[in-house]
Amino acid sequence: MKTVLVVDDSAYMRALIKIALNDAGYNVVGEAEDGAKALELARSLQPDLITLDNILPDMFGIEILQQLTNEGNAARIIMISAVGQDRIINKVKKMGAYGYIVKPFEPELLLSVVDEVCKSTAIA
Amino acid sequence: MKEEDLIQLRNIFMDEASELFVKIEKNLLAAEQSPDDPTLIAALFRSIHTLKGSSGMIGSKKVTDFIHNLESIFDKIRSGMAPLTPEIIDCTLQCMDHVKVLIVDPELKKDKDQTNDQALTDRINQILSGSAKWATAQPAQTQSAVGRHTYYVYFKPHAHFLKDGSNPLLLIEELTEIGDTLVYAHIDMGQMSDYDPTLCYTSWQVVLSTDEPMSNVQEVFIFTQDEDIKEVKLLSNEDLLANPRFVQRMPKPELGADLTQEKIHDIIKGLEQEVEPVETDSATKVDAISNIRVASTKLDELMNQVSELITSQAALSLYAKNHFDPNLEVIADNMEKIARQLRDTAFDMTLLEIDHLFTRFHRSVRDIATQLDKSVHFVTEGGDTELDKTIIDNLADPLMHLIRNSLDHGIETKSIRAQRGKPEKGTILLKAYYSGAKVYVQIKDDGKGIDVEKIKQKALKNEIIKESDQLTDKELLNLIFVPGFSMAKDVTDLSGRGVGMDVVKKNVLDLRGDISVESVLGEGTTITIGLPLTLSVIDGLQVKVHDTDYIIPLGSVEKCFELKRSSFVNDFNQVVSLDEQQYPYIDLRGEFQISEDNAPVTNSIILVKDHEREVGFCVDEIVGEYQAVLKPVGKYYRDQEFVSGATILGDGKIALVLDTNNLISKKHNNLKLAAS
Repeated sequence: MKTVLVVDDSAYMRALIKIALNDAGYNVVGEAEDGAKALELARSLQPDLITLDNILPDMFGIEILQQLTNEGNAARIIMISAVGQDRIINKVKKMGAYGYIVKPFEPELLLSVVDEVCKSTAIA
Repeated sequence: MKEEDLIQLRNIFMDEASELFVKIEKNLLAAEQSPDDPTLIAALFRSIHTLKGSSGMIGSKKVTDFIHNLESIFDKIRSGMAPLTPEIIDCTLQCMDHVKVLIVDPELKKDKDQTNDQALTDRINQILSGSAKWATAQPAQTQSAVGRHTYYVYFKPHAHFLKDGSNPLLLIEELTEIGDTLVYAHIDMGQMSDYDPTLCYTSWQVVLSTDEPMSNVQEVFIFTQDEDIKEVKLLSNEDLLANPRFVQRMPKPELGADLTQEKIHDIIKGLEQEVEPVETDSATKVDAISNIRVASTKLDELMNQVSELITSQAALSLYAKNHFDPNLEVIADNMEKIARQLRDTAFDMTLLEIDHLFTRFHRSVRDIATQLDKSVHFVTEGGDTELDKTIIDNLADPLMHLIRNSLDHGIETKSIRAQRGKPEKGTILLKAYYSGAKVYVQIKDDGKGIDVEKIKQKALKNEIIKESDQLTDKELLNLIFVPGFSMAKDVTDLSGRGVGMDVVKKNVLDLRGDISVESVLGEGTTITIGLPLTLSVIDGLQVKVHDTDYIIPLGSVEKCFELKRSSFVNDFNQVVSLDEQQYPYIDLRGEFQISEDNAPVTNSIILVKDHEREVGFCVDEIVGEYQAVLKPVGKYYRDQEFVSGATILGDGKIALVLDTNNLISKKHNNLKLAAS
């Protein structure tokens, strides 16, 4: 079962993502409401996937993405953001994000993106 | 997704949304005072952003679109392209109210909401279209000190520096002239016997913040010699001396202060590692409460169970006491201790900071003052005072009523205030504080005060008092709490909606609290509400009268005495001498009409205090302290004034909890009747 870390400052968003993913057979192993906790959990839990909100109280999701990529963290990161311009989406993907979801989204979209990210090249 | 999941999600969303509303409102009001505070603006933007994100997910596009434009405004403000104006604050506050409606009713079924929606949308668009101008009119607010750097300067003139007539102080003075400085002087002299008055032993360390480049700082020392040690180093690209935290942490600039370059670097490093401290106080205080979310029904349940546990534990203690089994007694003692601790912990959980309530009033005061065209400075103090959440919930209405009264009848209009030589802006202080086992909440205004004479006239007219009654000013003031007495000369839209001060008093009494009023004509009115910390369990003194047990709240007990019954019961004046002072007393036997036949020879007198008077309560005997779990009394007792509740004793018997305040007032009134 793929393990997932959910990062979002909104308790509601975390609950929603968690329920949707758990129902679909993923295992949400951790939740973080800010950047510091996200980094800490990403390092200690070594999840397969991270869903990452961009605007967090202490830092931007992009900074976390950058930091984790630099550290060589194996987690595949899916950015979730309210910003939907192609230019930014492409930039974030170039920075190492595997997927990008624009808020608001249907849970089905989340699942299809997550499935796709998992399949893109099989995670062991 | 499953139905129950959806319900759960919706609940989480609602909780979070209401928390965000509170946070946004609070930060907006704080921003009204300091509109340039970037941490407040960042917090506002983030809250609005989060609200937009989650409301979009709950499925209401309308809410998202509405908040989106608001978010754009704050995005502009955040990036320094626009100032946070009162207009924006006002508009955002109204938008938040509207969003609350939108979340519940996205279709906007009421016409009123529809028009409001349109009006607010227009208003936001107007602000947004105007914002293009701001960008050029008000250039981005960059840091206050462009190019200001902080240097460390060390200067140790060689020993013979003074001999050629040089004055090292001139150089130091020159440094202080090119920027802000902290100057530390050191004297390195060694033995007094080696002292040579012609030599220079002094060295200086200077922390200098200046716009000048480093070369200009070095130039100060251009005419010194090679033997003089001088050092200029860049400490930071910022103006450290403008940072109060830095200055605070530096040693005091006095002779021989212990300072090294490393030490300064450590301080700077310490500052950098810290999270912005401003954010930790007011702006994020609300966050701390959201540590854990427990449904309040669960807390109520916990409190109920703890109450039951205490009752059972009392039964156990009693059983152990009667069976003389040392082992059992040890266990029972232990249980009692743990039950007490558990009770305290459980109570602690039901306590809420009163700030939650205060925040709401900020908003209301602002709106009401605007409506009345009065200018009011609303100050709150002691927001971190904690109270039982049930009390906080039930306190909202009476407090709101009192504040409204202060605004409407207390604070005068601007012109009248000016005439009377008062500052145009009135002040209403809402303050909470602990005192003993009670929490006091005080509302103080600097308005016109209450005219005692007018109260008297009115009370006479309404036949509340008689011409012959001799009332002190204080007693007259207290008449405002009597049912059917309304002070408002002119009934305005705000007050005088039929809810009078008597209802306020009743609400407070229902919470086992008391209320008092003080007022100085022309200077202002203070209303003080005293409240118990909690409602469900009280520490009481268990007493016996004849064969029945009663509980007297321990909080109001001053002292206990023993007296021969014959020494006072037939005293004509109805007073007892205790510690060489005379007090009126209430003989509970007499009060409950129990025959004198089996009265004990020696009585216990308990001196009980309400907020102003002390009265002795005469009982047969004192049993001991008892943690009374308060239960409401049945309907036959409901109209009785002397009991405030009942509790179950360890042996299963019922004891009534006496309402000493009421008994004392009654006694007092009787005494007055007798006197007249």
